[in-house]
Amino acid sequence: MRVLAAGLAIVALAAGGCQPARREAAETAYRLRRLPPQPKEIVAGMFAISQTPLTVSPLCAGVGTEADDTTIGHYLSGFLAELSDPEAKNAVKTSAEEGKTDSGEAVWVCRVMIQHAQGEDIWNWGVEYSVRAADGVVLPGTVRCLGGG
Amino acid sequence: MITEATLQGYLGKHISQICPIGYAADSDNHCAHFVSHVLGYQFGATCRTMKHGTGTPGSIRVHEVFQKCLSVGNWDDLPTPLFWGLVFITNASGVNLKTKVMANVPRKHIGIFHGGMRTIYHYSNSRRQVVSQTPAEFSGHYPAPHNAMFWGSAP
Repeated sequence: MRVLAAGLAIVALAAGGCQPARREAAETAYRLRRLPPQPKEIVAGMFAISQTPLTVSPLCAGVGTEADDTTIGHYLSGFLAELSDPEAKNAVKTSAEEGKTDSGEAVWVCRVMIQHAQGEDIWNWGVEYSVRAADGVVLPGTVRCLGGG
Repeated sequence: MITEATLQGYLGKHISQICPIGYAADSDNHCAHFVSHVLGYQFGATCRTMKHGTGTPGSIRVHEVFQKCLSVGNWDDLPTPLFWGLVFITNASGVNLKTKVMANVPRKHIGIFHGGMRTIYHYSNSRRQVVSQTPAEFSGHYPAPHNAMFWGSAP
């Protein structure tokens, strides 16, 4: 529920609008509990950006598995839902590297990649997002959708 | 215009021998990646999106290549004058030929067909190398209903 609330607040922030909404979003933005980011926290950050629209980055345009997918959550769910076959080789891989934003702010660049391999059915799709190094806040505007095939 | 000899020169090669960027993990799908390095496509997401490296990058997403095709159609309606081009295989429910939109479903694949026999050159991710197949063989790349085939004239 906490993550969902953070996601909803992020949507409010992305939508802009009145100042109270912005203040509320800032207060409830998802914050990683520990830095450097560890795998569990990196996955939690992925859930926190689930309501971010796919318009956030050109790399996210058209990545949904269905035509009416509009959010990062829709996109990732489309691939997570494919992991149910016990015969397949599946993995969720996380990583975090130190980086800087365009404005020079120190961040952790986090990746979550969902991997699947079963015969010729081989793919690796996921997301990358930044976490402010100073306070661990997830920055939804930095989301990029990764993967190919 | 690509020649069949050029395509044959890729047979048996691993993607690491084709991509100068070094995006070559076997856990990734390299079908569009292979096609793009051969034909020089650099639009949308590329191997440089995924990995820092020097050299000319290539596009890596099937649905982004499909959308860039000059024209597309069902494989059975392939125009005879089209001597070479792109071939796609996926579930037909995710394809809109009028808008040239292919959904980013997990099971989709791309290759290059060439010549009167429509020989298909593509990167087999399971065999980890470039292979050639007849269209009939290629149609078994995925089980039904994920094996509808489409052609595209190369962008």
